[in-house]
Amino acid sequence: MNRLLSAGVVRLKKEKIFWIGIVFMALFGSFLAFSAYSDYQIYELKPSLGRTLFAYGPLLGILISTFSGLFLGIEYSDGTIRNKLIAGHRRSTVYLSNLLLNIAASILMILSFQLALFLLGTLLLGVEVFSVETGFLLFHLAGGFLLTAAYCAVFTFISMLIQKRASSSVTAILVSLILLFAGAMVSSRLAEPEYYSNYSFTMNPGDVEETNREPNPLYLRGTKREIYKFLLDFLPGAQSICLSEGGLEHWPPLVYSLIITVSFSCGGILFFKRKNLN
Amino acid sequence: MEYVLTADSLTKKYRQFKALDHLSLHIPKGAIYGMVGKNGAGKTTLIRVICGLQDATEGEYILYGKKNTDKDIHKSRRRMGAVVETPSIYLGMTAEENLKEQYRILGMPSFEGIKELLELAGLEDTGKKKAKHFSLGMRQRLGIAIALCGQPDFLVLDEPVNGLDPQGIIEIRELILKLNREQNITFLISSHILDELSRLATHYGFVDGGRMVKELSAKELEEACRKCVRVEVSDVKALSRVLDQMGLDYNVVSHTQADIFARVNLTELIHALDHENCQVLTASERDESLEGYFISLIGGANHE
Repeated sequence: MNRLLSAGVVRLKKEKIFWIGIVFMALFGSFLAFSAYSDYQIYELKPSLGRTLFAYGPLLGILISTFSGLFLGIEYSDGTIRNKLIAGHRRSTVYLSNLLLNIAASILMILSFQLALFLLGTLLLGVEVFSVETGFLLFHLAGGFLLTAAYCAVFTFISMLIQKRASSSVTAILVSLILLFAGAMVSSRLAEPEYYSNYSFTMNPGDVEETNREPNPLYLRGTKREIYKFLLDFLPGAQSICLSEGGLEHWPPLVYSLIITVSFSCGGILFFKRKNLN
Repeated sequence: MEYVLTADSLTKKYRQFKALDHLSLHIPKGAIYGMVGKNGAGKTTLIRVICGLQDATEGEYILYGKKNTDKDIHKSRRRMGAVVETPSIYLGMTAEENLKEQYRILGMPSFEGIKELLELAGLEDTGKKKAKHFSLGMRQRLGIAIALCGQPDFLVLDEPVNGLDPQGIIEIRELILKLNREQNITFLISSHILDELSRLATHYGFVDGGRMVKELSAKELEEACRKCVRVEVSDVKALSRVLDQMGLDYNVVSHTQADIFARVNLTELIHALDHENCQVLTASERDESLEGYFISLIGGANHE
């Protein structure tokens, strides 16, 4: 495994798509810092950027799916996966090393976003804008890491089991979009208010009328609401949105990410072991 | 005889299609084993199976004393290198970077020997040129150089000269012969370019429809393809006696036919046979090439 990781790290350093990801995330972080600074200049109100450190959430799936499809897909398109197997490496080791490389590269891309945001934010607004509670920070760091691992497990699964690089890349990106849209839909349905709030209006000057509170038909109730709550915790796309909003407040999403990581990795290894490679 | 690889009744099915059908194979140590067969005969499937890229549906093979079902078969694979179909190289890397990458995959302690490998493959002057800008021949040679990393004892090459220009074909041939002679590397080479294979191979395996039709050494093949006169007579025993008396090399093919491997004076032969009350029915000159042998063998197999 160490040999494959060492070879993979060297390859990663030479890989354009990895550096494009690093630069893109750094630019995104810088953009958010500049945007906060520009708001500060208009409203003269110092923003809080502690939660913004996790604003990469919605991009995470698309970022990892694109990277996985292209980086791992090369193993098939250039045929180099054969060299590893003929050299006597077990299929499970080849799979796991690729998963670990995927996780490492994704975390580095996230770090480039956070570092750019932090450094530029500190330079423009001062370090105090990043002050958050330690508990929040640790919980969201752990949540972000586990969510990254879950995404990597899903997209490594796709990239290692579809031999055509173009097909695996397109499939991975489509899955990431579906996950994100599903997450956004679940999140927005759960955010529906139970009642439309009452409001007052005037038909004639001095004649104020008030409406009654109206129940919202889109509000989810009973089992349906419980299912949506579960999906909000379970779906990586929904977790991405929660992460970016600083809303990872309990353990289940973290546990579900771990379950997704383990189950996709075990399943992937099992299928990969049986796969006929060309 | 010591064998590097033997296969017994190896079968590979893709749903209902049998790509390998109870195929057997014996590759002696130090041999250049030419696997001959038409497109779709099962050559590449066999190579994929022995390289561990695909599992056999039935049957077994033994690589350096380890069965394919043994858990430590991967240890035997460390003694082999292979180029399956297209060369497995990172197109975005230079030749040297590709070799270094393979050294890391193999866990080699240093990059010692890379310069020699580049020279051996004739790629020492490629510098910073990336493999994607290489010609087909250069890629093929780089693929072989990668397969040679870790000093394997057994090299598997799938159609190594396919698509190469004449110069490229000569370079690959010379490289194979050099490695076989100087480093005693055993080769398994699949090809349907028979003329090229006949310049290299010490052993042959003829594959058709996923089955091994015949295995024989180059010497045996040469015997089978020797220039001869095939004589059909009424009494083959009488013919044997006469040929023995004349001191000619011959081989009895059937109870009426024999091949005589010499320039024979037919008048003398017919006269001598007449004394033995044996009639000469037909006499024809035969000069079979590897191609002819292959066609008659595969054609024969199809008619079985």
